[in-house]
Amino acid sequence: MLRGFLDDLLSNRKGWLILAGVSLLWQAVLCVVASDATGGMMTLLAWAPLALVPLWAMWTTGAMIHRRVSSDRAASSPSGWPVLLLQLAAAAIQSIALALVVIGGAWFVFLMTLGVPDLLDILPIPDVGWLTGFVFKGIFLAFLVVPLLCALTQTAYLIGRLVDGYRAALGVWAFVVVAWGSMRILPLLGDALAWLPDIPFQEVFEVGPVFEFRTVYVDTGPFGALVALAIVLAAATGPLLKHVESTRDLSLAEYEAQSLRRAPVRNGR
Amino acid sequence: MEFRKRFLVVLMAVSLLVVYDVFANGAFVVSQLAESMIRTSSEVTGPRISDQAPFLAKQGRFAEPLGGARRVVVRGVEDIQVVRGTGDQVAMEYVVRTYAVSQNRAREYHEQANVRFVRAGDAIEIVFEGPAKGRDLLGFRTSYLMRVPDGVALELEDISGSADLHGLTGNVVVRRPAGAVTVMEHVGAVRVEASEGSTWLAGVRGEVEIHHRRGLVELVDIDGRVTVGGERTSVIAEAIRGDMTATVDRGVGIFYAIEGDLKAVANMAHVTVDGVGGSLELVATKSPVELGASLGPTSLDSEGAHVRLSVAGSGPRSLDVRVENGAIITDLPLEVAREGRSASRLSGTLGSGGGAPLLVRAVGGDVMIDSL
Repeated sequence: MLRGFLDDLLSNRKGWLILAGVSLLWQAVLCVVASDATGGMMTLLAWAPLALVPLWAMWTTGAMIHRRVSSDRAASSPSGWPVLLLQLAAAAIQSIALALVVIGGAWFVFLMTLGVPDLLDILPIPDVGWLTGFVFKGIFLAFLVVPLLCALTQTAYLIGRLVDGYRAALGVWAFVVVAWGSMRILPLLGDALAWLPDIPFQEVFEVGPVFEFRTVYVDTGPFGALVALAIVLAAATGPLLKHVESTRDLSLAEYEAQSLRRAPVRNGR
Repeated sequence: MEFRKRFLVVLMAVSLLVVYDVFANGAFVVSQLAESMIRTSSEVTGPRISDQAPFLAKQGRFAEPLGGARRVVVRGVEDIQVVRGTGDQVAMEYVVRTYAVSQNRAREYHEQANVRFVRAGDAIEIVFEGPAKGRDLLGFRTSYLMRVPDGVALELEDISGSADLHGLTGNVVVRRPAGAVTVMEHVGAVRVEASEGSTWLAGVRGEVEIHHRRGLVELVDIDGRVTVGGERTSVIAEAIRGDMTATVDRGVGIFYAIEGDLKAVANMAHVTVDGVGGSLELVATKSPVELGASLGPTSLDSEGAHVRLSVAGSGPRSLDVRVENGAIITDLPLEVAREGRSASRLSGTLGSGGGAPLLVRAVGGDVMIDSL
């Protein structure tokens, strides 16, 4: 199982390298074209590749599960929910690594274009530590949606594999249906997890002619719900993976014949 | 029916439900999800009693002759207003509100709540008496209006709301206020300790000493020495007729028309200074600084931020500006000399020479000198 995890972790590395390279290239171009007047804009644009990370996470998860289902494996090899959870972990590690590359590049662009002294001029309270903490906590919380997107991708892919034709269409539709169900469940699950510790954020408030920090606590229940739902969804999809793997080599006719043979005989028929 | 068909039939049924749900409740679901994702709560600084909570209120008034007392001490009030009184007595009007889960439940506690005077040495203490806690009791809110004769010192402790002091003559100490402290038209020293709110002083004749844990301090028209600062504290000072020492941290420091010397330390704060009659000594860390033209002898140490200097119409000045890991940007007819790989220096005199020196040492930021 560990080997499978490492295989998944190192899979799609070409795609990862290409995406990281494109991101760094984009940031290098921003450095080159930046001027004194556009430093702030270039710094903001340098963060744009971060939006690709969730897309990458979904794509790599889909590729992992596709390779898993399409490959020849020994019948005794582990299957089901542990495989799906480990794939989620592998996708998360790849995504974090990609995000770190983008953040590192964006930081470099910031230093080369805007710089700390200019940033201090702009900030209402010139505290770089506050801004850094605010941004990183925000990114961390926002990226907790990524495991759920990956789990949705796994589920949608495996549902798509249940038919011989129009797999992609069924997969997309299944993604929409399960995503909608998740949106229905998340608020309830978030309320149930309200006991999770809050995360303090320092927000800037305008008080008369000046600004001051005030601590605002963000409820982590909804974000815990995202992760919990991802784990539950991946675990619940385990039997589907087993079924798809055990029947993948059968044509529809063979599958139906096999199913009929397995059907119980009732009323003497 | 085999597994795949059963699964697809279930998916089809769920799909119909989802389609119906999207059209019937789509906007509601999306807005509910958006609202549920970001839920915040702020830190509570005042009493944790809702404005809608049931309460009973009572009010009263009484007066106590000074009888040799030189101090009035008030502890644990929410809002207090103190004005100059006449005669030789301390007069008091109070309002007490008792909050509980219902008015019936509040009655029992409300009857025990009382405000009275207690003499302790040379002090008169205003004491609020009430049960510290009780079943169904949410708490008390107290509001005082006091009249204090001339020359009597005032000590206020643990004020959870606002403190307004107007027209008093006598020393004032306010300890651990959480709201706004306002002192106006005051004669005597003013000391505010460990404040977590805002402090406004206007028209004070006496020494001022203010230490905040956070918040804003605004001082206008002060006759006397001023010491002010603290963590997460902004300071705005104007028309100070005396020496001033200020510490500004993660906020704003604005200093105008300081007739004496100004010593200031700024940490992660925007600082603006103009019109200092005495000397200016400013140490700024990661703090953008703007210095106006109307300054006496000036010494500025800056690290990690830009400095803007205006010398327009400043008369004769002696300039010595050295910048490391930054640039000197100026339209002055003075030459900027390089010192080593990363430092530059500008020195010279403006006007006929012999004016007040302007000494700037900056690291990790530019110095912009504007002569227009």
